[in-house]
Amino acid sequence: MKINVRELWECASRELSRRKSRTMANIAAYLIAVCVLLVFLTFMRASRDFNRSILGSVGTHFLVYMPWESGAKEYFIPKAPTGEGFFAAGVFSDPFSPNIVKQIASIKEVKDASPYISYRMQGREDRQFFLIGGFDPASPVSVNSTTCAPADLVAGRFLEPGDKGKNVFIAEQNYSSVRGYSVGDRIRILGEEFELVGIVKPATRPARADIYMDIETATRLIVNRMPANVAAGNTINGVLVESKEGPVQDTAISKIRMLSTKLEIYGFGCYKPASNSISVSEQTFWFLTLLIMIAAILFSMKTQLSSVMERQHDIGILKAIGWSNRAITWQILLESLVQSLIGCVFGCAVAVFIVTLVPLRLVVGQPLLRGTTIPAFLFLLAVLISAGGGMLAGIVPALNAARKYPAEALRHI
Amino acid sequence: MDKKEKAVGNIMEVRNLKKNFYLKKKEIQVLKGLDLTVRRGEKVVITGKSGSGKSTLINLLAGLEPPTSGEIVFDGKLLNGLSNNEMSALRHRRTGIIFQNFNLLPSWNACENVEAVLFFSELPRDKRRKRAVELLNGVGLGDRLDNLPAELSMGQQQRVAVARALANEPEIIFADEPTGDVDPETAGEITKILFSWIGQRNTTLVTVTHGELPLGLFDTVYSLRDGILRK
Repeated sequence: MKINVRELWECASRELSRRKSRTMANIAAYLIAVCVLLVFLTFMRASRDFNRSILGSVGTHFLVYMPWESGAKEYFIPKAPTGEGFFAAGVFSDPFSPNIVKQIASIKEVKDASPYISYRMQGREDRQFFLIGGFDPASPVSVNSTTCAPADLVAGRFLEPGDKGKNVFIAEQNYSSVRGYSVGDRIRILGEEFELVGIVKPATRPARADIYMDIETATRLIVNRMPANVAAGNTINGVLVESKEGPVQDTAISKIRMLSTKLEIYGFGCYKPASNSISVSEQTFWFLTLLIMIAAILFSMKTQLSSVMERQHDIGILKAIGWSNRAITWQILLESLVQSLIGCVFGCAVAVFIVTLVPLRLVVGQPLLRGTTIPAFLFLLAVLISAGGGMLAGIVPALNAARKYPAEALRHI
Repeated sequence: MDKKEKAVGNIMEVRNLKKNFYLKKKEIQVLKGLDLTVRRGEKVVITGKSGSGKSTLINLLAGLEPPTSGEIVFDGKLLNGLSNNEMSALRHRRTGIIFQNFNLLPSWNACENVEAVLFFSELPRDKRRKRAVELLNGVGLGDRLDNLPAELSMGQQQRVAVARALANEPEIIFADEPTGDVDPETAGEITKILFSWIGQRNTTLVTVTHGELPLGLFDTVYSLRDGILRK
C-alpha cells in the first residue's frame, strides 16, 4: 500500500471537519496548554530577572591589593614618620603597576575596574593619622560601589572627571566634623594647598578613606615622592572592581588571583547569600518551567489521547478493509499535528494578549518594572511542545490500535 | 487433478482450524479443528445457531484475527505466515468483507465509505469517486451519496457496506450474516444485488447465516455445530 500524502490529508481533513466538537476540544486543549505555558513562564521569567537585577549587584564590588611584604622598604618614603605608608584593607600594602587594572578589566566576569591609591599619613600639626584615597572620577561604576558615590554627598559636590590634576578634594563627614572642616575650606596636605569641595557620608565600603581626591593628584602627591616606585612603574596600590553579578563573583576573584599570587581581595561576603538566593530562584524557575512543560504536554495530550481511543472501532474498520498500519498511523499523526499546531497558534495569540494587558506590576509587585514581552524562545518552545505532544498523543494510541488485529479493534465500542 | 489445477481450483483451504477465547481466565473452545475447502467461484454458506462460532470463523477466514492453531491457505499462501502488511495488502486488493452490523465509518458519507477501500490504490481521485458512485447506483443508493450512515436506514447502510465490499473487485467476499439486521424485503434485495455481482464476475462467496438466507442459492452448505463443520 503506497502512502499518498494528498489522500492522507483528504482523510485527515475530513475527520477534523466532520467531528467538529472533538476537533475543537483538542484545539482548545492545546490552546489552553500553550497559553498557560507562555503566560506563566513569561511572568515567572520577569519575576526572576527582576529578582536577579536586585540581588545580582549586592556586594559585587571589592578592592584588589597586595599586602606589604616586610623587606620591601624601598616602597616607603625614607624619611616618613613611622606608621605612614601605602595602606589598603586596614593593612600596609605594596604598590604595583597600573597595568593590572587593564588585565582585571579584561576578565569576562568583571563589569568595571579602575585604579586606586590609598596612603596613610600623619598630620604635621595634630600628629593624627588619616587616609588619602585617590580614584578616577571617570569610572563611576567601580568607584561608587567601593569608595563613595554622589549619592553619599551631605554637602558640596562630588569629584568630577574635570578635577583631574586639580587641588580639590572631598572628605568623610566624621573626619571633617572632627577637624572642623567645611566646604570651601583650603587645607594643606603634604605641603600643597587643597580646596574641600564636598563632604560625603558613605555606607560601609571596602576602600574607604578620610579624604578623597582625583587619582592623578593623589599620585603626584604620594608616588612622586618615591623615585624608586616611579622607576619601577608601581604607581597604584589598589584596583577598585565591580563584578558582573554575584553568581560570577567567585570566578572573577579566582581569575584575578591567577594574575599574581600576591594579589589579595578585600570585599564583603554579602554577595554570597544574594547569589545563593539567585541560584535558588534560578533553579526554581527551571524546575517550575519543566513541571509546567510536562503538565502542558500531558494536558494537551489527554484530550487527544481519549479522542483517538474512542476511534478504535473506526480504526478496526479501516484495518478490516485493508488499510495498512502505516496509513492509519500517519493519518492519526497528521490529524494530531494539525490540531496541535492550530491550538498552538491560537494559544500564542491569547498569551500575547494576556501578557500585554495584565500589568506586570500586579504579578511581580514592583512598580519600577516596565511591561514585558514573550521571548521568542518561548514561542519556539510552545511550537515544539505542541508538535511533540501532538505527535506523541497521536502515535501512542495509533500504534496501540494498529497493533491490534482488526477483529479485536472492531470489538471495541 | 494435478498440482497446478488444484492451485487454480481451490481459492481457500482450511485445515484443523481451532480458536479458543479466554473469558475470565476460563478457556472457551469455539472452533474445535475444522476443515474447509472453497473452490474459486464457489458460493459457500455456513449455517449455525447464535454463538456457534460463525462470526469467529468468518473473521479467521478473512484474516481479521489469527487462529489458535490450524492452517488457512489462501490461493496457495499460508495466512498464518503473512506479515501484518501482507495481510493488509491481501485484504486491500483481493478480499471484500460485509459485516452483520455494517461497520461503516460514522463520519464519512455513503460515497466516502465506499471510496475508503480505494484509498492508497493509486487510483486518481476522480476515478475513485466515479467508481464509488457507480457502485452506489448499482445498489440503488445513487440519491444518497452524501448521507452519513446515521442518516440512512439499516437496509441502506447494509447496501453501502455491500458496495464497499465490491469496490476493489475482490476475488472472494466474506459475509457475516449480511442480511441478519434487515427486514426480509431488504434482505431479498441485498441478496439479489450480491448474487448478481458475483455471478457476473465469478467471485467466490463465503457467508455465514443463522438461516435467513435462501440456501438454494449456494453451491455448498455447511453447518457449524459444536465447533465442527459438517456438510
